[in-house]
Amino acid sequence: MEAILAFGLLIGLIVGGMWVQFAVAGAGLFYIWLLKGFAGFKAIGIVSWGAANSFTLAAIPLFILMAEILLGSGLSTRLYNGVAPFMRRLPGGLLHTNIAGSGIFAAISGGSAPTAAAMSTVALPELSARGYDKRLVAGSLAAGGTLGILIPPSITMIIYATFTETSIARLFAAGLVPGILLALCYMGFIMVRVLVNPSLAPKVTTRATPGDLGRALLDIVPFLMLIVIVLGSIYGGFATPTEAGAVGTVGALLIAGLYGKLNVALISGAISRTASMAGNILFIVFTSMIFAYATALSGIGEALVGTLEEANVSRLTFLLIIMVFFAILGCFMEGLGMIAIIVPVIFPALLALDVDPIWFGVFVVILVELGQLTPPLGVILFVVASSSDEVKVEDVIMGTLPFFIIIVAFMLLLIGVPDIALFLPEFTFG
Amino acid sequence: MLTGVVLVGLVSLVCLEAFLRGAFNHSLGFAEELTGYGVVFLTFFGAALALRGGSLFQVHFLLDKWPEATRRWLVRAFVIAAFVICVILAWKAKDLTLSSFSRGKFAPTVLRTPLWIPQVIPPLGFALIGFFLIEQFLLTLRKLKADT
Repeated sequence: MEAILAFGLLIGLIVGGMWVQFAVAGAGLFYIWLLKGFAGFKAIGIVSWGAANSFTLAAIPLFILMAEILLGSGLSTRLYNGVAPFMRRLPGGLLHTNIAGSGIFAAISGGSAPTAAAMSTVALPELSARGYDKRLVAGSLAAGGTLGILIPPSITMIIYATFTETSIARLFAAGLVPGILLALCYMGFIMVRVLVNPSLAPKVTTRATPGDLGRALLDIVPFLMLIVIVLGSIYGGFATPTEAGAVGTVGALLIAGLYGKLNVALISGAISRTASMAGNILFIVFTSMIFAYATALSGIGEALVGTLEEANVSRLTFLLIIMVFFAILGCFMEGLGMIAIIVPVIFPALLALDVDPIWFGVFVVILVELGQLTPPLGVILFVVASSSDEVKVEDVIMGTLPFFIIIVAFMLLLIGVPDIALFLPEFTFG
Repeated sequence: MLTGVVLVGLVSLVCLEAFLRGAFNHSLGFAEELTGYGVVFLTFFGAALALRGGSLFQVHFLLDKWPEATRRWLVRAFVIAAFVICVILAWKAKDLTLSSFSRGKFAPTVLRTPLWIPQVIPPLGFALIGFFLIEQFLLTLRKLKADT
């Protein structure tokens, strides 16, 4: 009963329009009060200090800063132009650049919104002017943007790891192959659609000369080197994700300097945006820890395990229920909060059903991706729509729909073949 | 400004630690501890900046559907509720700081930092967030006056 009241209050406050962080903290305090009265508040000081004082969480501002420096220096245009010559001859032409460019940017940014923003601002005006179908353009950009939280480094994965005490490095390794496969699925779909209906994308007949390809490669190489340094240092065990984030930030500064974009305004702008964005995310982690403390006090996780065992619910049924639950919740709730609130509750049930926590980390991140594409709260939809006057949110929603179905199908594949996610972490870390 | 300094300090410190460990197999020994305190600082002062800048996570779709007057009352109610939550959390954080101070607690690290020093950050951070919440409340009143 207490759980229903607390979760009801939480959803009511969030949907009503209260700041998510205060809604979570308020519902958490209310939950503790229902369970233990005001005496339950005694431990809040030490619980919240333990939640905020974390070396691991430092990776979040560092990865944000790295992406902000690259984004602020306008290097997304260079990345886009660098990828384009390699993609334009494929059926669907530059639409593939949206996906491949997003995939590369995802590997140097920790989130979906920066990835979608980076690609959309460059690609939307360019592709609309060239006569590409605007819905397909918008859909590919939104779908490509979601790769930002699946392809490491991923802030969403860092938060999942914080709440489940799983290894960030293993999670980062687990996200890579599904991220690349999902990107290939998107590209395959674009090819099929354009082959069926060639009017969706103009056909490029001119071949890129070796000189063009060489120049394009020069545009991408610094990004690829940064990816190799950041991810390689984590996978190779040379650096923690936090250290990789700091080294990546210095690398981003060097790249900006290399292209003559480094100046005080760029750095101060990036720092200012990072401070605000990192505070936003870290504060939601902080308040969610209070809610997680309340759910731990209530024993709701263990009660859920008992209920599932009693009802003889299979692993597959449970995962399908989780899929539906997250899909519904994703319409109203911000992704990070969703992980921070729901995962501590269902985590004991996952362990009881023998679900690998690393695999589930990837699964839940893809679920958050779905939430980012679901109206009315789908962040990515609005990021893409606000990038150009050429498209409306409705266009983005309609364009995203087939990609949404691809993601759902991919999740079912992931349930059937968990090694898609687990192969790389097992191969890398044993 | 201070938040920016902390962020730059965080990057420098973690980079230095990674470099020393990678190149000379030597650890500063205090990078992890200070980075943790930096995260605490960014959590509260970054959130305060986000609140002031209007970028703190918020779901608008239902709120925006209400008539202007109702919406304003709702916003006011949310600001007051957030302020109360802020006061409770600040109070509990202050209790922890005073407890660490009176018991003379130290961090079990190389620096042996008296714990009350970093633990003063959350109450101060909550105070700043509370201050910006009061500002938000006053702004809604000013809008009301301007309309009438």
